[in-house]
Amino acid sequence: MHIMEGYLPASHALAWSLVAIPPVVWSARAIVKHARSSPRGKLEIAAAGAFTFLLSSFKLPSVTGSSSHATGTGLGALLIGPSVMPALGAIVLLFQALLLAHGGLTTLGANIVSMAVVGPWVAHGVFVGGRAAGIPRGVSVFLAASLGDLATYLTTSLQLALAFPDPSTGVPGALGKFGAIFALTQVPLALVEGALTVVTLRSLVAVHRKTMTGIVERGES
Amino acid sequence: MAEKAIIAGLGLALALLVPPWPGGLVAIAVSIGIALFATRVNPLEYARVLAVPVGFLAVSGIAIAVNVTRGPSGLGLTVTHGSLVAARDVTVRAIGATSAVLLLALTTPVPQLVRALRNAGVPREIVEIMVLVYRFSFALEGAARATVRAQTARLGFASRASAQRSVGLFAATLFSKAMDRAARLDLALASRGGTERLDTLRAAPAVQLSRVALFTIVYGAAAALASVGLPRP
Repeated sequence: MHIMEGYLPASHALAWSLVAIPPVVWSARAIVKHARSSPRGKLEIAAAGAFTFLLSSFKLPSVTGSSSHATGTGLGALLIGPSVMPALGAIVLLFQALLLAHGGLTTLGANIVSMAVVGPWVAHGVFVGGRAAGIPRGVSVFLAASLGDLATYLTTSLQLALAFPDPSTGVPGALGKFGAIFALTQVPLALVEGALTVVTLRSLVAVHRKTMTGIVERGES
Repeated sequence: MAEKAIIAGLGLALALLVPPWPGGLVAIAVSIGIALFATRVNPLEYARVLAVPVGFLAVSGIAIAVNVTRGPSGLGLTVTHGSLVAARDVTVRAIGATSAVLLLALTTPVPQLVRALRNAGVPREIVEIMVLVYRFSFALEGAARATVRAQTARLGFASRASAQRSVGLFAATLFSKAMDRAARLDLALASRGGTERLDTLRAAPAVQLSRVALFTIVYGAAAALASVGLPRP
């Protein structure tokens, strides 16, 4: 769901960058505090970040002969915690923009807001809310990952709709248009990623209960 | 890095600020020309890397070209001359901007990027985590590929149930390897009397002002040509 380099008008790119600054700074401060308190904590954050990055970009074979990949947003939020995600997401998005030409510098702020702020916090909120409501953990994880993914794509649709409002139906019409186009791929993807996240976290919790530090572990132990 | 950042920044500014049509074509041509002839990026590699975002942008342009209209019979989709122009302008501007940033993407090793961020005032811990994420990603990628290869060879993706199990085990194995690497690195640093800093050697090529001035003139001339020197449609 990256918005490509140069796609947003300059005023929108600047505005989204300003919106992204507070959560990234807040998140970076939390990471710096954690890293200073424990040198190993820094290494573990980086390892968890690399793990999430790799898992979200690694194509896995599927039974249909095509390929699929696990979620980054929901899994990252549940595994590492949503407060760490803005800074870690900014790091990954910066790497992708500068080293892979995926996303962009001018659209970095918009991409951080959708993928590293809104998506993770929605996933976190849905998981915590689901557990508080007595929904089983597996279902809560599925809903958190799927809705986190959908929230990311809706935010991207909104960003594009604000930048390119429809001449006759305005921002609502453009939101519907972009949302409908993305929905063709993103709704099935969100469902698949929800299922993949459940399987992934189930295995992780079973094998690494002691090392898990995200809300899955805190909420369940 | 500073020199390349200035040159890429000039290209980015050119792509974003000149009238997209036909000026945007000048921006694209200049950025590609500088990448291929001045920095001598392999043309095939450049084309391969540029093809992916250009493909995305071409598809994205369709979304802007189509309008949602409200008529007597409800909502409908139309394509107008104005919407086609808007789609063309956005696509050309984005390709121009992407071409400019590709210069950085294809010529900048991570240590240079990291040093630039450190000089820009990004906290040391954040920069170190960036380096570690980057290095862990490469270190783990080989292990991840080997795991999937082994699972595939053992028919781990032959059925839906086995594929689900394989994905779960793949993630668990990868996480285990990631944390193991972190622990081993921590131990290695401690055993060498390492401090909390993760310093690396710095290679800092000097900024050549003459080269920066030359590229500024090239981009300035391109901006003048793109803004006032070309016939408007």
